[in-house]
Amino acid sequence: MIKAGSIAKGMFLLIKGDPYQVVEREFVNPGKGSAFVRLKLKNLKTGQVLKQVNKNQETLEDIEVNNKSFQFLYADDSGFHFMDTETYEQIVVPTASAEDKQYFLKEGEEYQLVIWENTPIEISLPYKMVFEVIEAEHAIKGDTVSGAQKPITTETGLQVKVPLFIKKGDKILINTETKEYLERVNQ
Amino acid sequence: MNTAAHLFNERSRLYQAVRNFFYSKDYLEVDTPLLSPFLIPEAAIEVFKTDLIKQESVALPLYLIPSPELWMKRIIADSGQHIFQICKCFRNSEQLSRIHNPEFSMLEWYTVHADYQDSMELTEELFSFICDYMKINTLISIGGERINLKTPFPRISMNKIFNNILGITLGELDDYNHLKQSCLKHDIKVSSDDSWEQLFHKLFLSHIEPNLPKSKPLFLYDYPRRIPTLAKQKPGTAYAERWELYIAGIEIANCFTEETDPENILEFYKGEIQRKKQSIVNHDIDWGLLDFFSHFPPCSGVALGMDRLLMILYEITHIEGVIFSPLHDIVR
Repeated sequence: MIKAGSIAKGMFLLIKGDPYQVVEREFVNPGKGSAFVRLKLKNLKTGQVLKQVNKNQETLEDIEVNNKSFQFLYADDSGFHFMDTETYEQIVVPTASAEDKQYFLKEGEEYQLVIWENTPIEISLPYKMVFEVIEAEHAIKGDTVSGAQKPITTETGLQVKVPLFIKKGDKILINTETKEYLERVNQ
Repeated sequence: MNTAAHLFNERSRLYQAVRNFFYSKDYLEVDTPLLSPFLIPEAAIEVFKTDLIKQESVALPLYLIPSPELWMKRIIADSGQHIFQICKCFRNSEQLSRIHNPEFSMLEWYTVHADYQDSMELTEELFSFICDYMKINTLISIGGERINLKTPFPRISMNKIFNNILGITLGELDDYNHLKQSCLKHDIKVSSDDSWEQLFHKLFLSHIEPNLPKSKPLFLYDYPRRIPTLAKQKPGTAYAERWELYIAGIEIANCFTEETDPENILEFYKGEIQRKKQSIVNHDIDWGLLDFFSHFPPCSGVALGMDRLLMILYEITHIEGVIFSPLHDIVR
């Protein structure tokens, strides 16, 4: 069990039998009231978002999870298929819980899965990842406004806005949390 | 605000504006102790404790004030004058967040022979004065919200906002079981030890506060009488004469028509002392203050967070951006 006041972003909780991850945590102290914490939680089974307010002193059930390396194989209607790199055992992460991850999964690459009671509940992405630009418009000539951006598409289908100098075939670094362009990677 | 000099320049101009405003209205500026041997009991606030050392041993425990109220009320009882002060206040155990630093700057003022309605008008005048003095554009944008600081500010009662958003009246919620049922109906987690105040705030913080209108500063007034404060109760109603000024969803100022009946103040003390048993730091109680209410004029007090006001005026979303060396830099 954990006190609501000690909960941090990224932690895993068990609510009504379902695993949740803490997406946002904000402390609130009304001027003339008790101390509260506002939580935004993601249900890792359904992908649904739950918002709740707890007293700092209230306890919630936290769950023990561990990370394990898996190779991403492919995605289909049943979900994302991974293979345990030690045992070669295959597992499926349901799409509903990881829909926002689909644009970051590259076939054949290794990822860390969060395992709870022998079940994968979350795909843990690195903070930054490199992607290849497979579709990019040519910059419009004469468009020299500083900070101007254009949309591109990566090999995983992710669409991001990038500076005008980025071309098809370039490798770029992307923040997986904000889905924002960070920099071009030297080749 | 990126450099210390720039930060202090803007803060200093704000303080000048506030002082000029209150001087022009004949308010006496006061300067009261930050270290106090006793405090008004407030169960929701944890305080900082230290010790006075005399002849190499502890002579007296002292506490950093969470508000200058106890001293300012003594001055009102003594002088019968309007007074104001800008001072540091200290609150322990409030978690560091984008709107909390344990040490913060407060503007507190008291107007005698006035009530909370009068204080709303004076607060609007103060905002107009500050914006003129500092030549601040009243159209600001903070955290993606566009806000017009031009007065007058809309006023909405707590009852009306509950009715608008949840379709319930505060009168109904005055009863603990009704409040509990409303919480359950609106998917609020209810614990067996939740007090009325805690249930109310869970409902308020989940459904009301995030949905407060943000296009202008907002006076939210007539708070439930069951939130224990030193605000005067509205006779025959479930409300207390109290308001909070919200800007961009943040509490900027709190105001009461001050309770002056010594019996009601004693009741408040007793309740808070009882609730305070669960506090981490206990402090000596300011019983002496009760004696001053036998000759205390009717008055209204406002406490306004100066750091938060600076955030609003300069469109800064985090309190670290307006404080020199905030604790956020050290404590993670």
